[in-house]
Amino acid sequence: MALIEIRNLTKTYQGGFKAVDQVNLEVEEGETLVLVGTSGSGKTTLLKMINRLIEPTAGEIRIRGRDVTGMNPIALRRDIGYVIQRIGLFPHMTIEDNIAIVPRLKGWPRERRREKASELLAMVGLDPDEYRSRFPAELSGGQQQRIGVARALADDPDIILMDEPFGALDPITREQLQEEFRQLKERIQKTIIFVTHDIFEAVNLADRMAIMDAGRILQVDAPERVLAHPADEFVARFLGKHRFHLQMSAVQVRDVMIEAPVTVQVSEGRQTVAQAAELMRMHRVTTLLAVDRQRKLLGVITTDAVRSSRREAGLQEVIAREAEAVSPDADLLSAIDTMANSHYSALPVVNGEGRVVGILTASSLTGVFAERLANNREAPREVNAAPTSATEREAEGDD
Amino acid sequence: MIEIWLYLSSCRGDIAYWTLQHLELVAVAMGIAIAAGVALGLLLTRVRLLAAPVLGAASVVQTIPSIALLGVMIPLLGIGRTPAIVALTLYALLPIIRNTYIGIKQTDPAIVEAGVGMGMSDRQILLMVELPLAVPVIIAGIRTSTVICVGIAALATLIGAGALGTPIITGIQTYNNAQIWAGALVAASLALALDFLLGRAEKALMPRGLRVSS
Repeated sequence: MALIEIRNLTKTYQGGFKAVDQVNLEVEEGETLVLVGTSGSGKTTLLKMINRLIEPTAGEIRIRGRDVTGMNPIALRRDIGYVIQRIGLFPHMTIEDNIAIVPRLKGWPRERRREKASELLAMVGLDPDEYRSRFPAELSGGQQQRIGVARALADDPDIILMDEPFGALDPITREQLQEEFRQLKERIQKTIIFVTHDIFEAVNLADRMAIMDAGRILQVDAPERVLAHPADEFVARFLGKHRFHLQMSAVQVRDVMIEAPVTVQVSEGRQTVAQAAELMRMHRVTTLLAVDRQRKLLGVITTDAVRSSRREAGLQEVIAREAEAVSPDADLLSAIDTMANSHYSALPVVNGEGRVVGILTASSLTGVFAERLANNREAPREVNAAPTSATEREAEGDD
Repeated sequence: MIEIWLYLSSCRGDIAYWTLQHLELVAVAMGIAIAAGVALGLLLTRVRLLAAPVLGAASVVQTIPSIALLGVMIPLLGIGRTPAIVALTLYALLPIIRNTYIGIKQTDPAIVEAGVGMGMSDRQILLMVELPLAVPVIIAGIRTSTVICVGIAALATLIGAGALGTPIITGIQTYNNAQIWAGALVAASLALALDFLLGRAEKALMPRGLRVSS
């Protein structure tokens, strides 16, 4: 059974305007579900009906099988974390008191509240000793919203509702908080319902996303699947010209890298360029990854470097040590970016310890593009607004 | 100048007595006005429909000339301290009601939404959030009312309530300028002193978080 079940939920305002129209939705325990749509699509109304800031006209919302309309709204809200776009910290209270507001409402003793506040400050990356006695006005917008998130976690709620939490921040801070949020949600494993109008944010943060328009949910699925198979023309149009771009950003490097790259362990002694050339011919590759005994990346060796040096020269001389690498967790878009800015046609993939775990090559990427684009063509025509790169044209020529 | 000084020193006892009477009138009237005004102001924020009529009525009271209001009190409450206090209270109400209402209403809606969303009751929102944030505005209203009251209390002598109006009125009737000046100066000093003290209170009670800036 899903943690939150929404059945035929409708909110009709005076004059007959249906903000939310017959919505059915299930939210599984531990997932981040992003409601995404244009303004007026009903996403915020839907969110606010979950903690009863707005009362539904018809239909029901069940949390663990219990209908929320039968619960005391105050007790319900204290058990659900809530983060809003305009942050809403209490300006006359210290950061510590702001974070521990729900524990205070629930009657925790002072000492325990202080401990919890310190723990949460550290969790959102702010030094407790430095920040606990400050006031909201002394913090930047990004720091304030970190407090807003910490406050929602104070009583360890199972469910957290977030209403465009990063919408009012400048782009750089927003990106930073999104990244922190991604890491945080992995760590805390909460059920999160997140409202945004920003499709990039949705794809970036969602486990599943629900696309809304005119009070209805048009499609609910994992971002990759929505991108690959939009349910109808509206969804396709909503994803719009960013679709290809989004698809690439929804893919992690680990999903598309070649996992057993050809490496050469470089030792102190006598290896020569000729040996590298031989390895390349044998495996039919244009790039070798030079590693040390622990498989840590030293650099890359390209065919160009091999050709332009004497065959009996030492291997050490042809290693391009300044070559960049990416993490397997990076999204494909940023990997392509790194690749485009480097001088090499292949990008080593290294894990946190610097060990080689794979390689991205231009030809492996061509395969990924071709596959995505083939999927896209099953969807309505209008969608095909992806950037027309050489790779894409090749892929289309294939069938 | 010297005559005023001579008068003040020769009638020290009387002056002190009138000053105390004056302070008493203002204190009692302000006590009632603060209690009733803050309560009414808070009520208006919860029952918005009442806001326009109540604020309107309080404004009308303030437009009535003070001598007339004192006079109107006589057939209702007779003469002496009671009618004077009622009249002063009525004058003091408007700034307090209005500032309480505005102070609460100007709370950032995002703060209230966050509070409600986290499960604060209406009462908790009021006491933990809105009221502390409105305190400086409410005190500013009290300050205005106090100064008005000190001024109008000087007329209370006309309906037999004594206070610092007494030397002024007597001085007018006996062409004794020194006596008029003495009463006026003491009353004015009283207003200035109270205004200063309340100004300090306004600063002291301003929540610390509102005083800091990034």
